[in-house]
Amino acid sequence: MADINERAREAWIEETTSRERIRTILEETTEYATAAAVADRALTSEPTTRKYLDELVADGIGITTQDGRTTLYKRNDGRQIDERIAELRETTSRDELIDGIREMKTQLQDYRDTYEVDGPEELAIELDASDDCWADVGRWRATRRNLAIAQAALQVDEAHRLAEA
Amino acid sequence: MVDDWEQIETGSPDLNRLRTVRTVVTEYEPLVSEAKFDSPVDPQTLQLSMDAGIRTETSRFDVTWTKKGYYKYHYTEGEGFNYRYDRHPRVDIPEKHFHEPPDASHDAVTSCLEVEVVPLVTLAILQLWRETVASGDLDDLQQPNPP
Repeated sequence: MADINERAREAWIEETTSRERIRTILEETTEYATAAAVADRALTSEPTTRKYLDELVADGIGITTQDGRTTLYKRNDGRQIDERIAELRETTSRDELIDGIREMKTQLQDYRDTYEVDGPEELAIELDASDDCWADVGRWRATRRNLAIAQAALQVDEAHRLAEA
Repeated sequence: MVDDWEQIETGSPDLNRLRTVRTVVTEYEPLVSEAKFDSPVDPQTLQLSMDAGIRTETSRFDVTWTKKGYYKYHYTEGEGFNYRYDRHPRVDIPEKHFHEPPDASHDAVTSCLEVEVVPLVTLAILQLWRETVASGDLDDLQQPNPP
């Protein structure tokens, strides 16, 4: 039987179009990358990749920077925050948002109490290489960001309710 | 033993990558009965409920991807049977490693997975699981064996 990695590549190509694969790879590109690097990961040709990447940038899904004459691409994290706020407003009730905000605040307080520092950046400085709670640095950052997003969703909700009152 | 995932600054959970996992499994894996996040407002882990198991009738994958591109796919059939495919730095073995069943042992081994992007890692892990469910042979979780 063929190698599992090869079989996964074949299955992906069979089930998707080039454009879908390029978009999927752009959505996981958090560091600037060349069109050639994206093509390599998306299993697509470089000209096709460049064409679709430019479309995805025009649609606001990706952003670019220049490195000399080379264009570098990555996903647009700012747009993702806006989409996440809109998604929360659609999928979550006001009460669920309020409950979620309360739980996240409790979680953040737990981190502060447990580690006796104010934030994940200080925690990363305080920890030794041998400590076994490094993953909490990332979880703390994520919860802090998710709290800000949930609070923003609640504020936007409130603005709409006031506008309609 | 301490979980090796906890000993590294793996980065924040990445909702976008987890959404890709959800899309891939819901489109291509009929044995997934549900794909949901651990929290609607603070999603950090994607939980995949499976309609089959290697030793049980149902099972679950808990999936985490981080912004740094590290992952763990933890498979469980309860306390008695667990394994996990990981990618993250570790001093003694390669970044891509496998915590073997039945206890997802800390003494991990080199993973058979060379692919790195979210859809390919997800498709490969599901394929290995499906074949192991069918064969009952745990060696099928690492193909070729040893990698």
